[in-house]
Amino acid sequence: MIKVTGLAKTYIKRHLWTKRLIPALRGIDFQVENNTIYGLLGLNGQGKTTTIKIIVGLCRADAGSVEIFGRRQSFYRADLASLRKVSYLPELPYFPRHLTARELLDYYGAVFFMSRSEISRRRDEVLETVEMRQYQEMKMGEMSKGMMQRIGIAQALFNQPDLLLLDEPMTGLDPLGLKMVRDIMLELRDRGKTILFSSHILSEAEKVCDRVGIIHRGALLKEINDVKKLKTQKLEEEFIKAVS
Amino acid sequence: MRILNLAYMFFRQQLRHRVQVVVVVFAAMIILAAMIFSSLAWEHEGELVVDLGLSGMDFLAFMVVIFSLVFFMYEELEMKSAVLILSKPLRRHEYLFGHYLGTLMTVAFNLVFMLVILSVALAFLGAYLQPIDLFAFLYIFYKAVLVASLAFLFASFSSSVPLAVILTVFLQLLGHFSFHLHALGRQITNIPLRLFLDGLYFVLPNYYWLDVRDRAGLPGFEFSFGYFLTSSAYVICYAAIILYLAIMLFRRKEF
Repeated sequence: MIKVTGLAKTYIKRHLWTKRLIPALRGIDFQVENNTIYGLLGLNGQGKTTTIKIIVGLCRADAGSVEIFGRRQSFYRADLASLRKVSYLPELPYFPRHLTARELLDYYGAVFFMSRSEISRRRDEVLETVEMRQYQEMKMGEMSKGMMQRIGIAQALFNQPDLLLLDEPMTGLDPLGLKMVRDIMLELRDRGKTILFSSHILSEAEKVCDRVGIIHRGALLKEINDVKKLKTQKLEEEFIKAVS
Repeated sequence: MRILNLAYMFFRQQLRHRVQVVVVVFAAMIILAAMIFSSLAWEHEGELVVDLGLSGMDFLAFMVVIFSLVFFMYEELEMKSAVLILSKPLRRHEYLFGHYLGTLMTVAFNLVFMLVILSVALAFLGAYLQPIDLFAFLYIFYKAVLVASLAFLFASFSSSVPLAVILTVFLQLLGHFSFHLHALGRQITNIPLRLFLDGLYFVLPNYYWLDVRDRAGLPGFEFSFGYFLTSSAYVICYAAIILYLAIMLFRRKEF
């Protein structure tokens, strides 16, 4: 489903005539198989978000390649056929403040060439899934962080994707919201979907992931192939051992 | 179709930001001017109101473009609401062009309202708009087409909102003098400087060409159908080239 090979990225911060190089990824390789939940775990600022952004085409890699559904992705010419089956949720998504949740989802639906009736049907379904149907006329600027995160998840489900890229999807959610996201992820996996998500909340990763990759200082230090077989709290031990 | 959808959504967001306050400002200005001019009982009060109205529209249309630029850069690029839409199956040129069209829709919407207000004010004074005034109105929109393309060019490479605004305002001002700079270049014997001024003339938008009402009374100028076609073609070509550059730069932008 996803094949990442030798992915490297260095950010260049320019200030007047000086420039500073900040290495973000140092050649990482991993694969996410069909019908699995893969957790990219790491501390803040270790390259998780950059990896996901490169996969979805928002960032350019300096080296390496990304394949989705067996098709090589390019930053300059996005593969729209692949992107139709992909969805992305950024960390702390920001939405146009003056649109209501309904208008926002209609707007995204139009990008996928959906008909009006299909948009309307999917809108009701996804809002129901994230328990936000009663707030569909509320403007995004009036919503709390947790509500925005729920709408973010709703838009990620809108096009019925085969692959979901979720960057810290648990951020800003209350315990009920956390359970809801967890249940959605597991249900999607059971329906044959594939999920790549980043997190630093190990307890949540332990509950949902089939496989995890531990990323630290831009390198993939370790992969754990069968998280379910680990004993409780073992993932935390493995993580600390890997990054320290 | 998707471009039109994006344009409509951007237009809608700007209306929710109450950008149409410019129409209220315009209405207040025109009503005040009409009252003052009619109380002074000047002979050409209608003409004065038209002059004032068209100048006001010109300035306020520019302000709407600047507002769109700030709004686009802040909300879409700086706050990164663009990342969600750009991660969907949408080409970057569709995204940028959609927002450009949305800006022009906002300008056109406000200009039409201002024209209605101006016509009503003139009717109270017993005057009406001449055909050249209507063309002048269209050329105000043309100027907005040009300045909006420049605004999106600066938005596509600048990461700073103030810098993009300053560059747009600067080029807007220079655009009004590009013809004079060219005329000045012809008087200069220094070849490099002359070439530089000639270069500027071709690079900067030529607003002098679009000031048809001001030039209508000048000797040697005749507003004809040919002039209209040529100037319209100029506006379309200039905006297309600038937008092409903007899209090329925007394709390289990382989020």
